[in-house]
Amino acid sequence: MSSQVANERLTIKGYRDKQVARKLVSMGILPGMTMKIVRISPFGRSFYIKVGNQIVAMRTDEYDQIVFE
Amino acid sequence: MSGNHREINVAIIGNPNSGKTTLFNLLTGLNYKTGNFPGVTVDKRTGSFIHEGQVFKLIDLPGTYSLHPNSPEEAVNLNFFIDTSSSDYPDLILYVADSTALSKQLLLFDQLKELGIPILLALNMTDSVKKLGIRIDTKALSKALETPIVQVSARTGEGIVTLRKQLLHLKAANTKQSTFSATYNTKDLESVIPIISELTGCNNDYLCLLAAEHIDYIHDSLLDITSKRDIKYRLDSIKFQSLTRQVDETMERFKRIEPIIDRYVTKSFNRLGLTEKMDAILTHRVIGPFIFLLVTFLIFQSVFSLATIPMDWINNGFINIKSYLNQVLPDTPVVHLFTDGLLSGINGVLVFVPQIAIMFFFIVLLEESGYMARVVYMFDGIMNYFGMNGRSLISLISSSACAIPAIMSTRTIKNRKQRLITIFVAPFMSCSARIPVYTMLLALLVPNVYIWNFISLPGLAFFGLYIVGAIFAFIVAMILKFSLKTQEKGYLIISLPAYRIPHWKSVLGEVLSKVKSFIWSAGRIILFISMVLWIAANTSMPGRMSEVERELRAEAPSSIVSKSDFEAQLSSKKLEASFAGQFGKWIEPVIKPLGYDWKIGIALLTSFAAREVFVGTLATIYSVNDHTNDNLLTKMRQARNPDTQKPVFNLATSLSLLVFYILAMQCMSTLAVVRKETGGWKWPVIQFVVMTGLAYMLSWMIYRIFS
Repeated sequence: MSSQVANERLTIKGYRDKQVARKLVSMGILPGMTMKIVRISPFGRSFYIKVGNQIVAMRTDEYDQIVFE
Repeated sequence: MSGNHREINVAIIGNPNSGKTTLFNLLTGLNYKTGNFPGVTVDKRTGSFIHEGQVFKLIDLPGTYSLHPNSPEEAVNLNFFIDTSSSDYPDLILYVADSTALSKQLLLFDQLKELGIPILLALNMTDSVKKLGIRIDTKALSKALETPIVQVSARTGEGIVTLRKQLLHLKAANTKQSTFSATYNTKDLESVIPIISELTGCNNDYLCLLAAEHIDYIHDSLLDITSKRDIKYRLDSIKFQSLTRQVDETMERFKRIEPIIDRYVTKSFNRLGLTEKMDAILTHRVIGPFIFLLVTFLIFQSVFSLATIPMDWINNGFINIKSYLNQVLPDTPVVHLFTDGLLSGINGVLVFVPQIAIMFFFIVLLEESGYMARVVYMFDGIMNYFGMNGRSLISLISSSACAIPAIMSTRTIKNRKQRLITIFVAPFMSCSARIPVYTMLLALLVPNVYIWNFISLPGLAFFGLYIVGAIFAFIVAMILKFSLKTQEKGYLIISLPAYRIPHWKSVLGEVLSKVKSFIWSAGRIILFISMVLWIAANTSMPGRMSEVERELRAEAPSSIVSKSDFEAQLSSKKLEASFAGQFGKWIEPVIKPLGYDWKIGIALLTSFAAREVFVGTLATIYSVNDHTNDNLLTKMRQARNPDTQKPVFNLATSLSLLVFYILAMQCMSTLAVVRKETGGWKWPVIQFVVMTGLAYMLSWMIYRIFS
């Protein structure tokens, strides 16, 4: 489960879902970058994430589309 | 050279949160027009400014990260650059980037350089750069990017004069933009690119390639459906991998940009430090939602308390103007149509402006400070459960002031289905026009007592009515979530920008543009309906009105009845005889099951101009001569049904009316705005039928239970 990896730095390897991939790539969230979940949303459905020098929010199921090394 | 007589088209473009719109407002001095891009409800703003006698026309393009679109809204940019025949096609591009986050902001810039249009790179937020201790070697950066650079601050206005000069130089130099070595490969597309080029008139290989990759997002006016199908077939036959291409291309561009930025931009400390500290509290799992509730509560308090003062000015002002005009102008129907019909209509439009302006002021403030993105993050989960997203929450909350600005604010919701659901359910939230109606009906129903000495019972009931409306909004949203079909999957994935203090000029500009849009789109409808209803309530078959007056005089000679009582009875009788009165009687069989008589029928009809007119109409029909609520309540309590001799406003009827006013779609201006935002009559019609049908059913049930 993705929610158990909080506070761990992970390196992006690739993406499973095409649309998620397009979206993340456009935002400059690319393979090779490290990602860290900072916190979980009040209703537990999304993550507050630090990646490179930007902060992004995404749903847990979107997060699950990212493949890590 | 085209000389100085022609306008120079400048497309202003950049990432979301780059401060592009603030810069646009600053350059055009709020002198712009708002339209729509074809096929989508994305605001298209065009404005102009003059520098050294040369007119520049600015086109504000939607903020995106990349030319590769993820939605029809993002595809606006791609379509815009493909359509070379458009009168808006740019001579120059003004690319706006946030200097404090440069490395991520230049992907789109790098793509735009392929187009061969001269680009000016505006490094925005120069003021923050200094504060944050970031140093940018602009000369070297400009050389490395092969692009002229100008440092500006849209907040303070710094560098704007230089920017204007640079735009003129750029045009005068008329140099073709030199491009980097191509990062894309079109060899496998040799059979497709000429076709796209010929059909769309676009002569840039990179754009044709993008069109091939995102063929479904290309506007039908540029590429018809048959051609698209043909191109897709060709792409399939060469096993065209559009996603892989996009990822490769993007990575290659970043690989090129990032070292350049690293070399020429030095940072002394982490700019996100403060933001992260603030977020630890503001987006905290438990504290965060409570802070949001507090913010909402404060906004509400301000909207309702601050707005009452200008609203009173507007109402009193119109009363004075009307009474003055009625004194000096002759007493003819045409004069009354002007003073009571037209002026009251304008009054009805303007009275909403203070609330709408204040509401938008806060929404824009939340949006520009960066807090809105956090609200979206925190509430996305729960709103998504009801088929909406985090932004919908803000729209629903503002709908408690007025549904019109709420529906207009849904433009920031990118997912179409979520946006449609939000638009559909927003009018269920009790708006301020329902307040006078609720107040009057609750006064009939609930004794004015206090529980435990401090909670007022009518106040509590009032709150209950708001809750009922909100519950229905969420129930209907849930039903729509499961019944609306869509291929488009909703995404959250958003960037949470660093917090910043919004600039007053930009906030004011946004508020002004929304208010203008309200007056123009809703105002016309309210005005028109007010006029039509005024005519309906004041005219009848020829001669019928004077007949009514004669009959009344014969019945009650003016010697017995006081003049004001007589006048009141006369207007009541005239309203009964008018077309509106006939409509009330005609509709009576339909509304009888709900416990209403024809008098309420007239009030329901006039409510279509604006719900609060309900009270005024009842005052006229119950011939109240001094329009105070107490007097009206006494008359309403005394009202008896002529057949049964029972009170008209009994428990069952009053409750049933309350339910009707919570749920029914009675606001023509809201329907007009929904039509504008959804691009057709389909949704406003469905909304009207569903809301009013629901209101009818539940009012009927309530009436049956309590009578």
